Amino acid sequence: MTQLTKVYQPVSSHPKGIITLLPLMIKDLINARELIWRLFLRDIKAKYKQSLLGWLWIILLPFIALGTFLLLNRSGAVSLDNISVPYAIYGLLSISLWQIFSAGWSAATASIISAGRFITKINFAKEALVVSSLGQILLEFFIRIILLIVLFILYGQFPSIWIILLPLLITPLILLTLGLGFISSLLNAVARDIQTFINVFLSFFLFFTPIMYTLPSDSLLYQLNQFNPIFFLISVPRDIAITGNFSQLPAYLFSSAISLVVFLFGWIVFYKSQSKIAEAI
Amino acid sequence: MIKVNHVSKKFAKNLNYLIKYGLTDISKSVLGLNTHSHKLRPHEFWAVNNISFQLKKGEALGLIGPNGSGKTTLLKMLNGILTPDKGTITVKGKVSALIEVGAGFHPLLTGKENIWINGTILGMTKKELDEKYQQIVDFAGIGEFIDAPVRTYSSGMFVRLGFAIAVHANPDILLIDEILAVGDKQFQLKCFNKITEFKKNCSLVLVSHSMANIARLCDRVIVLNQAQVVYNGQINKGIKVYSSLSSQDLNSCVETTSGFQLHQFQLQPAVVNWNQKLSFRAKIKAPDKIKNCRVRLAILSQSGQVVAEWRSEQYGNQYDLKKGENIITGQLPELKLRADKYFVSFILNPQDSFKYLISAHAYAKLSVKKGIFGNAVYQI
Repeated sequence: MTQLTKVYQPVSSHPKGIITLLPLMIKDLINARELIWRLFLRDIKAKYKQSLLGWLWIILLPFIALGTFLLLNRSGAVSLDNISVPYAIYGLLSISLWQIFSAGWSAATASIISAGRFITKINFAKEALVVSSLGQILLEFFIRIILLIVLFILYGQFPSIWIILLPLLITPLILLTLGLGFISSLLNAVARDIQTFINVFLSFFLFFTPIMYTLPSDSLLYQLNQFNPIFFLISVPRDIAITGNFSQLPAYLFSSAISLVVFLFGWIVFYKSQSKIAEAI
Repeated sequence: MIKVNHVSKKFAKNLNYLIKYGLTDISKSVLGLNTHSHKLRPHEFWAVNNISFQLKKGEALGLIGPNGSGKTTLLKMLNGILTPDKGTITVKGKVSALIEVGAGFHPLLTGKENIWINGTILGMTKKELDEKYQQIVDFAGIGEFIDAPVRTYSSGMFVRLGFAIAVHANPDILLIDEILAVGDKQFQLKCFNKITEFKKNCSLVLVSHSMANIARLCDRVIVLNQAQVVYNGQINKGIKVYSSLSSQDLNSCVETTSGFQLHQFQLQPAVVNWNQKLSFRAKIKAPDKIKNCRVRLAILSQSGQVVAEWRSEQYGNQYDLKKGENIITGQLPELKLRADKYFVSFILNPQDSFKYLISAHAYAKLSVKKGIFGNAVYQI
């Protein structure tokens, strides 16, 4: 029987190059798959155990956001022009995609801290905490997609056939969220104000990114959003799923490349510094 | 199984520096810069300093030392929770650590659900868990509570479940940090048996302040003091080294009813051998004449626990005090205490009540030398 040998030594003597690091990182992540699954099950079981409305929240939350934007539209604050499908469908898909990023990043940031004491007491692959925190968010997303299909039926409309690509199309968004989550969870373990900062930023960013409403293409905000990868990572999958509109694909692919870079960078930072986490908690 | 080679670990002394150094270290290691982890920066200290030792297969090592001597930090490094700042640790085999029981338990989930999660965290696969699940439940022995959320558990039940999972994770090395003390006697016994059974093909590192547990379970002991190894070897000798280290003075305090004063209290001799007689002499000032007073001497261990008591009335001694200065003496029979350091309290009561005329807590020191070192304080 071969025995597992582990060597613990100062961080500075870890291999530095990405070529040597990446296989180790992937191996660790694969080894942690069972743990990720357990933590995911734990989180969904625990989340709805002590709540009044339970699973209903998953459906309730997007409609609250939808209501908000409809209200803003009625009072003339935002425009909902040029939307070819009922706003309920458009808005629900937009907000569901947004939630992957927003709720996902927020959950990932909190994941290390909320594991709390047990990080300092048990040795395990800490990336499992960050990755599993997204699991719950994705589950909620797929429940909302079922709701979306119900809406399509209710309105007597058909989505484009490309809706089946949705799982693939959200991958860059997930990678970006993970990458940012890796870094922010780490920073949040050292300085707790990161979480507050991110939550404030996210509530601002929902209004900054024109996904729940439309903008004339000559407006300043629209121009600014040409540099916002989140905008493309949400609006392009939405348009493809609803109408089969691929016109923004290049911008989407470019944003996906950025996501991949952010993801790899975040993962490497996390991997290199995870030995410091137990000290910072 | 374990090889620890010149290992050191440093910590920041306060939170501000923890944040500052934490952020700089993370940025440096990301950029691939040298963090100079082998040097101390301002407001840092070594929690573990240049420690080396080895542990063979099947060996049980006890780690003892005063609070803050670096035991837990060392244990956490053995488990890989913390990384050393200097030196290397090589560990062969699967490690299961019980550093704090119930760490990783989710309070809202039931005991059963937590077995699955905690088992996975400890590195058990689904197959292993399927096989061992019933054994874990049986070993924990907490009955129907297994289906209740763990936040309703008592601390003893927490330990039972946590220990049950950890020992069934089938480790090659088991690290235990002072947790057995929480369970009740019956469960402690069960744990001891399990650990003894375990020792046949598994190594053990046990951190404990209970010398009885150390003596019972370990083959060898390492004494840590101020982040360094001060002794590595035989149990009995190690425990002696430890008790000489931790001989802190108890705070003595004297309380008297008004008018009474204790001027002097002496033991003769202050250093006794096992089975030797001891006498005392006290100088007391009394405000008035008072008849038939009783004297009580309490012998305290270093932790402040009363381990033996002498009451003058049991030996027919009663003391009549006159107004002003009095000298009272008495003789104690052979002391059959184990070799250690003790403190002695002197208490003066009137005949008919427990009111303290004088209470001098931990007032004199007593050493028992050349005795037997045993688990029990009283050696017949």
